[in-house]
Amino acid sequence: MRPAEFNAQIKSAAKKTYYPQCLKYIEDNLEPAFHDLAKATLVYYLPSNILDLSSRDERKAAIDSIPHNATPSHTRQLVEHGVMTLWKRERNGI
Amino acid sequence: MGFKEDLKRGVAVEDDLLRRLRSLFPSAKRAEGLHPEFDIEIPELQKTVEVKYDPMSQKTGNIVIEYYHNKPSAFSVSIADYWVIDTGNGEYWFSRQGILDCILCEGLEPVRILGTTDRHPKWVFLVPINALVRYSNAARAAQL
Repeated sequence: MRPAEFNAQIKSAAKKTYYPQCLKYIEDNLEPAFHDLAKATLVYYLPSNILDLSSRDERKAAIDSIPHNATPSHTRQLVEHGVMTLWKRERNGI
Repeated sequence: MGFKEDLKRGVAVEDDLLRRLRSLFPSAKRAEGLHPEFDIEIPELQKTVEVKYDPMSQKTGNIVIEYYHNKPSAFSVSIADYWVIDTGNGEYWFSRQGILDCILCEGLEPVRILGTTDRHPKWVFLVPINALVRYSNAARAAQL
C-alpha cells in the first residue's frame, strides 16, 4: 500500500472519533499486516477529530473510549495530551 | 559519514551526555540490557532520557522521529521524560509531549523510509529542525 493511500485510510479511521469505531474501520478496510501500523498512526490523527466534537462531554467520552491498555502503550495518554494541546492552541487563536 | 561511523559517533554523543549528567547527578547511568524505552536513567531526579544523534538533519533540514519499524518503535514505545537530539551542530532537549505538540501543531504527516541497512521500512515524521526547536526546553551549541 502506498503511503498516501495508507494515510488517507487512517484519516478516515480517525474521523470515526470513538476508538472502537476507529479500530473497526481499520479492521474492515486494511489488511491485517497493516493493523498494528494503523493503530500506531491513529494516535496522530485522533486528537484533531476529537477536538472537533461539539461538546466537552463528547470529547471526554471519545477519550474515555480509548482503553488504558490500548496498543501501542500510552495511546490514550498521547491522544489526551494532543487534544489538550490543540485545544489550548485554538483557544489562544494560534 | 557511513553507518558505522554514525553509530560510533552516536555512542560518543551518549557517553558525553552521560559524563556531563554525572557531574551533577553521580548516579546517572546508561540503561542496562535491551531497553527501548529510554537510554539514560537519572535516579536522583527519577527521570529518564532518550538520546538521538541525527547528523543527516544538517543536510536535509529535518529530524527523523521514528514511530514504527516492523512494530511500534522509538517514539511509540519510549517512556523517556526527555528526548535529547544531537544534530552534530547542537543539542536540543525536549519533553516527549513537546515533540508530539510539534507533530500535531505543525500538521505533519507520517512518511515511509527505507534505510540502507534496514530490512523493513520505517514509518517516521520528518520534522523540520526550524519548527522543532520552537518546542525545545533547552539547547546547547556544539563544542568546537
